[in-house]
Amino acid sequence: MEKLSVKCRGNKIELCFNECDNISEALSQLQKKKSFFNGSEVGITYSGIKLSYNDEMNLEKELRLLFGEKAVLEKKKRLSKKQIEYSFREGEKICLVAEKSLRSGEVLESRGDVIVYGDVNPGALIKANGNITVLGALRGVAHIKHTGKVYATYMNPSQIIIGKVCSYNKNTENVGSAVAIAENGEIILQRL
Amino acid sequence: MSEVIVITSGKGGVGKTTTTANIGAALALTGKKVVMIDTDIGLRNLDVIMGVENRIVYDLVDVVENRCTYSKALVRDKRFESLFLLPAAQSKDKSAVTTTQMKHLVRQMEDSFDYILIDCPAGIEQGFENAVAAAKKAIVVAMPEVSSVRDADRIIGLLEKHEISNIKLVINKLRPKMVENGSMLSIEDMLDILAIDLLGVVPDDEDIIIAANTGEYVSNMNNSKAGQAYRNIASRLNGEEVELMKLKTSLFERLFSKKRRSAV
Repeated sequence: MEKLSVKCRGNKIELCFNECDNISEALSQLQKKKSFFNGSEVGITYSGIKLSYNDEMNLEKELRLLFGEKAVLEKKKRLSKKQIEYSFREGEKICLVAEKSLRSGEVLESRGDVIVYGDVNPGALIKANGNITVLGALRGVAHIKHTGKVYATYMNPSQIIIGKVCSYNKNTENVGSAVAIAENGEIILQRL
Repeated sequence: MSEVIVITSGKGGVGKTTTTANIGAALALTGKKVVMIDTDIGLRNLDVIMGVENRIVYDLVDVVENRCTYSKALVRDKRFESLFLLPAAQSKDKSAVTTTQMKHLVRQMEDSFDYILIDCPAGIEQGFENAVAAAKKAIVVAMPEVSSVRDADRIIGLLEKHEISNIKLVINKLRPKMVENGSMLSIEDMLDILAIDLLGVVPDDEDIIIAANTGEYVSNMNNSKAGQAYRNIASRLNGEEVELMKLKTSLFERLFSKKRRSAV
């Protein structure tokens, strides 16, 4: 059985890796058929192997070397919700840091915590799985998917959602630096 | 090399076109050679405000499709020798021009002018992309209204994505009396959210409407406050340091100005 076989799937090409540890070795088989693809727009998927995000990027690089710049590797979907929760329980901690203000229309998504060095303007959205910290004014929307807290040095959010609890803009004028937590089905703002 | 500045706002009706025309005229007053490109294809207004509507032969779409050279399409202003307009087409739409064509056009023009002002259409679609493509600086026009500030904020975000870092703010249609009453956003409120450099503040002025309707420039009127504001903006663009104009008038000044007017 060959290490690598090529199938046609819809309008894409599927690379099937069979019991293969070394991708480049398998890909070298393709080298002979290089002229067949020659610069055409190829959509590529793969099967029979599990790749991390970085491996996928490397694979795409190698494919581009083979088929030219127009080759596009369809990337596998990342972790499901349950897998994320699981990885958190394993003690993995991710933190996304933004060293600029978030303007209207910008969305910041993180699998873990978020820290923003700057303002979050109205119309901007932060989605996180862990805590959200804004070292500036929070005027936009902060959304925590499960549990966590929202810290801000100037708290004036248009909305805070923690898990299934949502705050419609309560009187948050002049709150100053505060932390938002979910308690008894309500969002409570506590001054720091 | 010229300075390529896009004038944009996101929201419609805040005064992009009026600002473009008046800044252009004020720059021409200082002796600079200025060209204004109207990218609002299908809804062109800049020519109307300048009062040169009946002199348009070729337009932007003709130029980018190589039906004529850009110098043929330029319309010279009636009062200022060094002020030109490249009008937009009225019978096409925004998709008639691509970003690469705009970049190519501006590159052609760069050596012949001191300033290239690009009047951006409202919205964030193809028209915006075209206007921003060739620009190196941006002027964001905003009114002291919550909706206008919100859109300006979004636009600044988009401009930053297009790697335009030199973004200045012009506050338009400010009413000092309403700000005093607390019923209008103040300059500080707007700067607090937008967090960019202030280029100038233009007060709400009847003269602007009168001037636009008659094809004149408010910046060419000596006793208009809005005109002074536009001239100040032009000097600041030229690198001079001009203090912000005093918008509130004291009782004494008001009495004095009334007397003066009745005397005239």
